[in-house]
Amino acid sequence: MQGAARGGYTDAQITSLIRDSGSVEISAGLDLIDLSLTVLDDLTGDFLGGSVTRANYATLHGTADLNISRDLDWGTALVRPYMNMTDGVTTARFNLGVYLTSSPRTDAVEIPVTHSVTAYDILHWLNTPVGEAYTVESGTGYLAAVETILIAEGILAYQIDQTQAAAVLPASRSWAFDDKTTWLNIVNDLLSGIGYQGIWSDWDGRLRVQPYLVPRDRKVEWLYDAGSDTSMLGRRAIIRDWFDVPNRWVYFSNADPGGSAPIDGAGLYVYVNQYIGPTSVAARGRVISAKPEQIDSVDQNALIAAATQRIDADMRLKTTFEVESFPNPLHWHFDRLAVSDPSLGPISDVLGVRWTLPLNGSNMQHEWSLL
Amino acid sequence: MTTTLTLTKVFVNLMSSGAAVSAQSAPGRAEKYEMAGETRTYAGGRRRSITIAGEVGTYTFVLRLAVRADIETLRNWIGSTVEVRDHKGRRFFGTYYQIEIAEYRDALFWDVGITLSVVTTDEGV
Repeated sequence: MQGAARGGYTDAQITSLIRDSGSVEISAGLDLIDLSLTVLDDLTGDFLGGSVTRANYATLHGTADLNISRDLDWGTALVRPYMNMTDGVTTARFNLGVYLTSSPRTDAVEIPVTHSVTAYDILHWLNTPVGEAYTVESGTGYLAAVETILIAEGILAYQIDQTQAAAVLPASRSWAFDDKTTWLNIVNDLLSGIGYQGIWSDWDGRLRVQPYLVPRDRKVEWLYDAGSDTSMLGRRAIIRDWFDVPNRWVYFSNADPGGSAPIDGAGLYVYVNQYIGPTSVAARGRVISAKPEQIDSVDQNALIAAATQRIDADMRLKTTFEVESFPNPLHWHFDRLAVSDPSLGPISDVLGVRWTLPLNGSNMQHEWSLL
Repeated sequence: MTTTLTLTKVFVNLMSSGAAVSAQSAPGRAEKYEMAGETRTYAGGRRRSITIAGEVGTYTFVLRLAVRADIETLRNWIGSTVEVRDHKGRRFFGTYYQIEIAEYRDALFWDVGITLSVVTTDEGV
């Protein structure tokens, strides 16, 4: 989630505004910005609202459906919607990401003309086919290779966690010429090789590169409860999906193609979920194997980190909460949440998978996966 | 020195040109202001209010004994931004989307009902 503190207010004050205030007023705005995230113009006077959606497992995490009564340089213009919230005492603004205005639908009958635009996460800037074979040479730093691509593609605002700055490719890595490989694929392949999570863009529009942390090991960022003064939960449902859920995974590395076949602990990682949760071997009474998968990784630890990301995702997708809530514009990328609501069972640790925030103050929709 | 202009009628001016239509008006010219909002129920029975910024204002008036030429002018201004002033010193900027024309026994004059939807306007100084 976004950090709550802003505009001179503390975390507690902003949390209280969102969670505790009996009456709040919502408004929305829109900035036209450039790749350095400099505001070029305020489009609020021509902004008729819309919604912002974030689907964390999608290729492009963020989309925004926006209604604008001004012509922009469609396909190139970058916009940043935001929400203002006030209870008369505390007033705060929440940026909601940067989007490329790719697909306008123009209502030619209305005066002034209104454009309904589906705009895509600034990651779209990297989601273009490479158009040729691409190679990163042996000995090149993984993070350096990622940064090289970001710079070459014109990305100006990014933040790279340098924890694995020393990790270099043990062998050159090539992406063949095909019609599917994008710069985004290459960046994420490289990050996967050092146990980083896929690149994502933050609320201001800055691209973020950072190590993957197991969600269970992260601290809870927001508690949704049913308290008489703190409840924000509207309609809610639980969906359980048992189809084809594995409890055994096999991952192998291609770090040394000329070497011997990988064995468990050296280029091979096998994980069996023996006891954790309702999909474990113990709970289901049998081993259900996932299809073996190859991961390019610098060493065994990176292989395990990348595999753990995938295993966590496989294990998480089985119990889903579909929930409406009071608007909470702090939500962002794979939020670690807790839910205390008797109608949903015991206190649950969940991960935010998807959310939609209407900018007109309507209830927010969430999809959470049980951890 | 300040000069006070006291109007004896309701004046409707087209903002883009300043052209005016004026007429006597019926009593009971109503102003109304509201905000979009609702009180919602959340888990545990909590009730919480949420409003959307932006006051919605309307001003409803009836021009009495208007001549046909003025009515046609007001028809042409439907959907345009106008300024409306009355003898109580009230002034509104807004747009109307319909006019309701009612006849008199005297064929030369008509009543015209208008509901003005107030818009946000910056006045140049």
